[in-house]
Amino acid sequence: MKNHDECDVLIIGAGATGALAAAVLAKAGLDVVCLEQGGWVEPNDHPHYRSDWTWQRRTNWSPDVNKRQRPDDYPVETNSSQVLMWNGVGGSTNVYGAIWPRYRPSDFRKGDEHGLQPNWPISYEELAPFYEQADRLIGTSGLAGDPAMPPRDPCPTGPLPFTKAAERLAMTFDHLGWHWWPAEAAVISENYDGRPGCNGCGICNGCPRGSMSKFSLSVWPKALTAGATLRPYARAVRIEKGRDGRATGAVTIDRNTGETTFQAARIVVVAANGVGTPRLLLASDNLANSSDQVGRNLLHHTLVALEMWVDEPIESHMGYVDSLISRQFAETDVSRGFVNGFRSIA
Amino acid sequence: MASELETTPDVGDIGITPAASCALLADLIDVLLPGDESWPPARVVGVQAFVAVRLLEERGKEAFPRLMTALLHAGGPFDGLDEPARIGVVERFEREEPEMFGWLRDAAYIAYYENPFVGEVINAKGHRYELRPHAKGYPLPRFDPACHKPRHGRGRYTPTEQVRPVDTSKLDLENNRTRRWGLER
Repeated sequence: MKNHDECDVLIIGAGATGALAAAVLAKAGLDVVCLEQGGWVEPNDHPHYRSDWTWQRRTNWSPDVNKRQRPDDYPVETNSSQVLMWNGVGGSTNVYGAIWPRYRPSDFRKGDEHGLQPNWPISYEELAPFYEQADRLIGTSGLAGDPAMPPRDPCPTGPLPFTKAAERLAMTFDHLGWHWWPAEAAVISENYDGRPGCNGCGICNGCPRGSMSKFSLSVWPKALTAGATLRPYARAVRIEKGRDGRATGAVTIDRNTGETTFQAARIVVVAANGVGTPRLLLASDNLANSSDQVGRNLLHHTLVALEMWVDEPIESHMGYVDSLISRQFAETDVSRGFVNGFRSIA
Repeated sequence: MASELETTPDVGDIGITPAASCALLADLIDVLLPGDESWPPARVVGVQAFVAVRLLEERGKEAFPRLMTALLHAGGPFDGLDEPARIGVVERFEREEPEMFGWLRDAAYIAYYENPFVGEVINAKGHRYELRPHAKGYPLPRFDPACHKPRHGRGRYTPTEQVRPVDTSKLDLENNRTRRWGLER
C-alpha cells in the first residue's frame, strides 16, 4: 500500500465544513490534505440551464440521497426522514437552499433552560466573531438590526429583493402582530468576491452561477490558493489510530484507479455529513466512541413545509426562495406543549 | 423475448396493446389537464410522452402493466365515456392507488408547465415566466430600505445570561410524540 507523506491536518469530506476548515487552516500555514469521495460538480453539470430543471431537482438532483442514483452516492436505510447529502466537492452546498440564520443565545444553553439536552461548551457570544468571519468568507446577504437576534455586523451584501410572496406574508404577519425580518442567506445580492449577484431566477437548489455560495466556487478556490491539497474520488474507508488511541491517518481507495493508499496526518478532521461521519468512525474500530453515542440520536435538520394559497398573483417563481424569516416562535414557550422553538421562512 | 427486456415495458401480458396502453395514459392526462379556450390540453402538447419516459426512468418497466391494470380496474378504458364518467374513473384510480396517482399527477403537472406552448400562454396572460430562467434571471427591484425595512419593532431574544429554567413538569414528554411525522413515518 502506498503511503503519502504525513500532513499536518487530514480533512475527510470536502463539503461546507471541510472546505472552511481547509481554507482557514491552509491560510494559517498548515499542510492540509482533504479527501473527497465524489468529484467536482461543474456549473454546466447542474440542471439549471435545462427546461426540465423542475423535474431534475426532484429526481437526479434531489438533495435526498435516496431519491438519486448517482455513482458518488451510497443509499441510506431510514424510515424516519429524508437524508440530505451530496457526495462531491462542496458537498450539500451543490443542492442546498442557502438559508443562513444563526443559532440564538438560548440555543447554546438548553441544558440550563430545560435539561433535555446539554449546554454547548461555548456561548453565542464566543461564537459570534466567527459567524462574522464565516459570513465574509462565504458571502452572505441580509439586514442587521433584527430585534429578535443579538446585534451583528452588516452582512457583506444587502438583503435580496423582497419578493411579492414575502411582501404578502409580511403584511399578514403584521396583521397578526408577529415578528418578521428579511432573511439572511448565503446568497449574494450584488457582485462580491468575484462572483455575480443573484439574478432572481428562482431555482434555489444549488446555483451554478455561484451567486448562492456553492462552496466549490466560493470557498474551495481560497483553500487551494492557500495551499491545501484536495483529492477528489478518494474514498476514506478507515481511520487508523496509534497505540495512544489517537488518529494517525486514513486508508483511502481511489475510486478511479482502485488503488489503496494511506494518508498519514498529525490531526484528522472528519467532516463527512451527519450520516457519513459516524459511519466512518464506527468503521474505524469504533473510533472516538467511548461514550457509545456515535451513530445514535441523529437529529436531522427538521423542516416542515406548508403551501399557502392567496387571492392574488405573487410570482413566487421569481427571486430567492426564502426572503423572509419570522422568529416569533423561536424561544421556548411551554404553553405550546413542547420545549424549544421554530423559525418560519418564506 | 419481450419480457426479457430490461428497459422497455411489456404490457402484452395483461392483454392490452401498446397503442391502447398509450391511449389510456393519454386519456388519464386529458382528465387531469383538459385545457380550455386559452390553455392547450395536456395531451395535445404531448405530456403523456414525457410522463411515460419518466415513469420508465424512475419506476422501471414494471410500472407500466401495474398502471394499466389499475386504470382498467378503475373503469378504463375511457373510450365512449362522458366527462363525468371519465372523471369517475380517475377518482377511483386515485382512491385505489393513491401513491401512484400522486406520482402521475405531479409528473403531469411538471411536464405541462415545462412545455413551450404553455409557457407562451402564461406570458400572454401577463405573467413573466421563463422556461429556463437561470440563463438571465428575472428583473426584480432591489431591496429598498425605505419600503422594505421592517419598522414594527417586534421580536425578542433571551440573552445568554438571562436563560432561566422553564417548568416542564406539565409536559408529557415521555408519551407525547409526533406520531405521523415521527414514529409512524
